[in-house]
Amino acid sequence: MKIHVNGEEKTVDPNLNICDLLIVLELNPKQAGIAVAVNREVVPKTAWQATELRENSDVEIIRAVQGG
Amino acid sequence: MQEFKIADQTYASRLLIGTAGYPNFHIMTESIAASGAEIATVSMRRVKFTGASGENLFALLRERDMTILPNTAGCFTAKDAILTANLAREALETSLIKLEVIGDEETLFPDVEQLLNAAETLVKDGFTVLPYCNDDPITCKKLEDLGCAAVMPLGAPIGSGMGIRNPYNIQIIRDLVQVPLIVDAGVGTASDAAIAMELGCDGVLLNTAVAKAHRPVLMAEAMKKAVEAGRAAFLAGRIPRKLYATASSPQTGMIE
Repeated sequence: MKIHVNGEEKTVDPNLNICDLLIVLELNPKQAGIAVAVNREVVPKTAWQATELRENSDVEIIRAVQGG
Repeated sequence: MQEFKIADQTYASRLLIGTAGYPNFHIMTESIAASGAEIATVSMRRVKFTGASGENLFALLRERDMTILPNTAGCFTAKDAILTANLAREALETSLIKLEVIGDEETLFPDVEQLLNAAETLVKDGFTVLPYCNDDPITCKKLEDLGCAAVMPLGAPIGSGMGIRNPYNIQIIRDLVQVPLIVDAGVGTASDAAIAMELGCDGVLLNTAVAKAHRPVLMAEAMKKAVEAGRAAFLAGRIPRKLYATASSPQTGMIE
């Protein structure tokens, strides 16, 4: 299925959960300092395993960067 | 107010520092150390999938026991700022948020209407809201009434280094609000930070003045001293301004 991750279209396995997606993207789900929103709703870390993505899900994965 | 306190946390330093725009990561960490700041701002941005993850700012600031203050820089609507604040809370495990809702790209002045809306929602959602706002006493008062933990009026536009453009408004804001008053943006050099503190501000938040100085670490040290000096001068109480001289040496016992 097709989803959007940080504005880029990606093709992934159907019903992938957020933890799986992070692993596919070579990000460690246990790494501190990242947060995920799906369709503009924040998904808490505790719900990553249970949250399956759907066709056209809009995923944002963010972290802290240098800022003023 | 002798202690500098935000959300029940007391800080020895009244200088808050940004982490953006330094020549490199090493100079940034040295500058933060030299500034004595205990609170550092960060932005929330998309993770890049280019392989190299780069330096982990969150881990670095945590190791140094810094209080991390995420911002909503770049947000132009209350909706975007609220989502960014929620992502920051989840990612960084803090309810602190430096709320910025920008109204115009060229001046980076706040959009007051959107700012007040966002502040109201975030306070209700349990955030400790530190809003970047105009140097407008009424806006500052409204932000305080909404439950913001501080007000952070600009001294001048972000990154302009123009100093405290309206010291009289800052003075009025000081009289009007009880929450911590922090000048955020506009500081160009040490004397600007000292002026803000002499006006009775509780703190100064700056970034560019240090990051873009010819010698950032030295400027960070200068800012530390300026904030301390300005605070001491405010507490000491300045003498009134007079147009004419008053001799300080004795007028009697002169040789004839």
